Amino acid sequence: MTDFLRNDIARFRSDKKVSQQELADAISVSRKTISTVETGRFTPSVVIALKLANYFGVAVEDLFELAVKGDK
Amino acid sequence: MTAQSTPINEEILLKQTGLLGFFAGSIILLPVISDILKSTSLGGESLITAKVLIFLALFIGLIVSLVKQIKAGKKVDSKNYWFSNFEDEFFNHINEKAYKYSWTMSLTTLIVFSLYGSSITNEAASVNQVCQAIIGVMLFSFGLTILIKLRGNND
Repeated sequence: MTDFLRNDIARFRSDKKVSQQELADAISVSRKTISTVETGRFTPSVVIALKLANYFGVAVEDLFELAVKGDK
Repeated sequence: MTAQSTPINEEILLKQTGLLGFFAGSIILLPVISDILKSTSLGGESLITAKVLIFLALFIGLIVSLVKQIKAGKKVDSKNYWFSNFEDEFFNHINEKAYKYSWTMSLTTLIVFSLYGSSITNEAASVNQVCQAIIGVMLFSFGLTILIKLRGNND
């Protein structure tokens, strides 16, 4: 069984009506970092997770959750 | 005065570093591959022509990417440039992955040469040729990994 990080960044981003580039600029990372984190291809550091949570004004746990492969 | 690294400048630098590795690795591997092909049915006049044309194309690519890489290097923090560090987490991750794949490919090449070296080429390969092959594989796999990882995220 493999654990992976599931995230809700895309939903929060669309609720706030910000593009990947705008979000990337706001937290000083590349657009590719945002894009790969959103799609689950790259697991960000705690620093980026905290920056994202601060930006959306939510807790890190609201943005990210630990899931097991095969879970929906 | 050191330049301030931005994600855009770092992306350009990483891409050009990848291209540089790809072209340099291909140029170094070209004579090794052509030596192997010489002993097969593919060897002959057409192989020499193809080798010259491929070399020219790769050489132009190498010069262009080298110039662009140096230019991009001036736009990021000089310490990061020389120590191959990226402030952007994802680009640093790609760079480290490229080193990892490059090491694995080089080790595989060494194992293959140590086990089947004499059967790959007709004559025993010289130390220079083996070193050339390893450096070529190292640079080629480093560059190719960066290009593939960057290309796969254009969404």
